[in-house]
Amino acid sequence: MPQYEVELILARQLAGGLAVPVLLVDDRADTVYFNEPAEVLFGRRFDEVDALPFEERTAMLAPRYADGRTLPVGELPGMRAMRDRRPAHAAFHMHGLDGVLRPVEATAIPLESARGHVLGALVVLWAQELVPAAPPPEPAPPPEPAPPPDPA
Amino acid sequence: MKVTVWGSRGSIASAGPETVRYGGNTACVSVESDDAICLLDAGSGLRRAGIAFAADPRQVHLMLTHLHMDHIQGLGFFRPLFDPRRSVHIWGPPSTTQDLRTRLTRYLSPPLFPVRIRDLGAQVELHDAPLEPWTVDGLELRAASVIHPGQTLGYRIASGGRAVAYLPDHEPALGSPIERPPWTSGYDLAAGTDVLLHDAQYTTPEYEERIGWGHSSVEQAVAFADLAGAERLVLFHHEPDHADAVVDGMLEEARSARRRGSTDAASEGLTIEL
Repeated sequence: MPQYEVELILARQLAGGLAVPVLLVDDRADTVYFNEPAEVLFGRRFDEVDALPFEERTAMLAPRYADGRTLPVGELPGMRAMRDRRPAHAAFHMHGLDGVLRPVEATAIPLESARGHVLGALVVLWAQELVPAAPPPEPAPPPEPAPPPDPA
Repeated sequence: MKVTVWGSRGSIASAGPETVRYGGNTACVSVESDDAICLLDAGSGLRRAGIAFAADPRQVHLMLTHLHMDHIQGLGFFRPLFDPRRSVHIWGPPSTTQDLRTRLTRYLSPPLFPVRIRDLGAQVELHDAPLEPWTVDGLELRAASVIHPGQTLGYRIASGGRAVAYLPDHEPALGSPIERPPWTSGYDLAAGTDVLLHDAQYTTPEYEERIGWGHSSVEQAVAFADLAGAERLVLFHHEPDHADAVVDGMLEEARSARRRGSTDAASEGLTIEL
């Protein structure tokens, strides 16, 4: 297996020392690393999956909007960051590798080398805060019972 | 190919009786083929190389790993650059913001130096080292970024099935443990080489106090050479404060730690025929 570019090596080193979940992808969008905090979101330890091809990862995670529509792969933050060479952000739901559907947000920055080549992207993820559903309206009080008829 | 060390010291020239065996000049190594002379880095050792090659008709390629002073300070004293009959190619690390000429001009211009690049007699052609391997005068060249502060390259030069790798300023341990090739900086350059000139500036206790400075301990240099399967490791970029006796001790440590191949410590005048 060829050696990764040094920028990816250093990005992995940085990600490995952070408490925020980080996913690292190469220029093919293949997952080359995710750190321990990201393991919670992905539902699997990195050592168990190692490198994960983009197509496989996308099929497994099945990213989708909150309303259930599929998130097009070209709209994933990592893909947009590499394509547009600028940071990208999105909120979506994804299945962890443990099958649990989780709402997440992700911000990706392109890893562009000093030679001007995009080598991959560093994607920071975090669990989306669920807005608690509004409490159901209080049930209307039962109508006052009609007074008994006046016997008089 | 013929490899010759003209300067083996790191950081700053350190001439003196205590460094006379390994030498006090900063980084410069020549790799010669029948048709070309590649000079790896332009430290203060480049001055003597320039005298040796002044009348040599072969094409000269100066290949800079990075632009720290100990790797470029010999440029202004390299005779072929002042010879109007010659052309000299200078290759260096790329930048998305400034070309190599602009960056080198910071040094080769007043007040730091009296002569500007444009006033050198030779025809000087400057190139960003390409991303892909390239060939000059029968030598197969390859450059890749390696871990060291600022944009820094390592080089691999091959010819006739033999290969030399040059990584004078390199801290692969900063990336990850030196265990897995895909995650080890510089691995592709050094893999399977006949000769590997590699940073071994520090003893292990010194390294512990200088993590992130961009250099390796002798222990790490050995681990890297063994992982890459390099046949002959040449310890390079000696710490300026290390007297010859200290380098002797580091060489002994390296030799006993290596799992394969041979090990030397770079000294001025060391030549290796491949």
